[in-house]
Amino acid sequence: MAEVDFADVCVRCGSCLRACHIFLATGRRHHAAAVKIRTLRKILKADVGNDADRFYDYAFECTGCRRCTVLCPFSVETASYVSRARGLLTSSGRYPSTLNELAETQIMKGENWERHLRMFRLSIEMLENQHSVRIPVQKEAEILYVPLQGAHTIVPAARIFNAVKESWTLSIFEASVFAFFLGDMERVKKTVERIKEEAERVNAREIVITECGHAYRVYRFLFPRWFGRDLKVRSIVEVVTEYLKNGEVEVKSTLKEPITYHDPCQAGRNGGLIDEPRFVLREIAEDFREMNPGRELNFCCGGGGGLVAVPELKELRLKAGKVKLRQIRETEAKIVSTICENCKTQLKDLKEHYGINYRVAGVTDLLAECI
Amino acid sequence: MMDFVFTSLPYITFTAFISGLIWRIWRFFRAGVPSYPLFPMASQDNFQKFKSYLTQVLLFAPLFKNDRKLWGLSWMFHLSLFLIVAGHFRMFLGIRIDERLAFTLGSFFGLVFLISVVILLFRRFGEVRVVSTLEDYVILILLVFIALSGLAMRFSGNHYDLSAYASSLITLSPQIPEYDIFLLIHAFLAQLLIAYLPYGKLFHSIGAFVTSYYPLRWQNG
Repeated sequence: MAEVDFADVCVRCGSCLRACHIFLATGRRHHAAAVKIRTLRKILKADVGNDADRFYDYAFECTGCRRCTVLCPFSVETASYVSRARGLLTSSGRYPSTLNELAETQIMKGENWERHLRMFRLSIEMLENQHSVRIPVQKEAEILYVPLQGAHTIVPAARIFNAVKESWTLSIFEASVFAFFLGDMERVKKTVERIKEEAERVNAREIVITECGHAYRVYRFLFPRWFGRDLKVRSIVEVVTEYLKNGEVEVKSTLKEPITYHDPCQAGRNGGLIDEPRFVLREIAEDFREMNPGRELNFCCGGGGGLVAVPELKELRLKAGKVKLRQIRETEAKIVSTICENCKTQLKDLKEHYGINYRVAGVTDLLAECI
Repeated sequence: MMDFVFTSLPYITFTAFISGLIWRIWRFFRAGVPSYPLFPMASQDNFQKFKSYLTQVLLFAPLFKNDRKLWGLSWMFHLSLFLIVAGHFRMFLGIRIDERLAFTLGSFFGLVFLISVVILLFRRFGEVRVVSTLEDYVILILLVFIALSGLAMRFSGNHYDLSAYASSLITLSPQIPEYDIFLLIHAFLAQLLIAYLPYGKLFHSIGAFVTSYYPLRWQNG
């Protein structure tokens, strides 16, 4: 189906203004989706050359959460314009340098994975001893589990996998795809291809992605387009939900503190993982509280779109997180759970910056504590 | 002036409208930015998809979820506009209904339309000023004058039946109606608006039916 120019139907009704957590926090013109889309269309239609700096803030000061799209009477896809504009800016050498370095490092690691393997095995062995949990690395297995950096993305999942005697192995790579934040689809494909090749090496039939919003979206929707459907792709949250539904894991203790759930934009609104995390939380929590609005209308935490990894945007994202903070405070929850690493970082930064007390935890972490 | 507005201008308007529409639709489909596949927001079920499409294009569901005030205003505006346009067609085609009923309905929705346009215009100086462009103001002011001149015709006591004029236009032998300052202003401004429709934001009246389908198009992956 042909792609239409969404900017062509925008009537500037202003619905996007109150849909956007960034605009609500700043009120600035270039944060208004209706202005953004009209401006970015210029860069997408013509070779802007030296003029590109003018578009930089429009493209990078957005978390790509698509809340404005869902609340737009014409479903104007602002995030697509933002992403394509980022791609063009990146190819002309204008990008947040941290994102670019991270994207490069990921691809280099894919090319030299054998050199990384020994060090990786050593650090996992340390983790195994420290947490007394078995973690197979690059062994033949049914499931290839792709974590992120940090033990919290590995140990809880390992405990659950081992509890159900799953045939699984740990990927030496990380699920995140930093090139996605640069709108650079060629490098996204290269980054994703590392995992596909690894899955083939270990004869996996399924790739399971750790709690990570954008990675879930990339693997779930772009992976099958590029590499076919032979390999199944699921989130760890879908897997543990299945274990719970089949009675394969047993909940032995429950959480007494009030707990709320933050829907990550890429996993929830844009990925469809809305009911699964809630199912898990209702099994383990005695006092589960919804945020308002929630589900596909949930507000972005402010850290999406790669903003968490860009130091020069920290001030903006802390400001933009105020809407989320208000939602959290309204629930009076003591634990804020979510299934996205970006969101977790942002939620922790928010509580420190504004001096609010709550614990940030992944849904898988909480489940691992209760079995 | 009556001569120009009622003989040449309608044909100019018609040409500008049709050629503009063809150009705009071509541009609309050519210049798109590909978006990434997503989880289908509505459902995999075609009936659910159809329902969600209709609630968007006919009931403005996203606005209802986001901004109840704007939703109400938008509904008032579009519903009254639709009925007013339908009323004009009735008159041009010479379909007879009870004149008192026609007058009451026409005046009522004419006033509703005028009020909603005025409130929409006020919004442009307030909360949505930050996204507003010159076009937004010009169109709304144009609509205010079209509505005012139309209502003035109604309340000036004259009886207008332009069905004979409409058929004379179609047979390419336009016969100028009797002079009336309000009729002249109304017909002139309305034709400006129609001629402009394909070139600016008013294109949403067509484009919305296309873009509203896009979030529903993704199959499972």
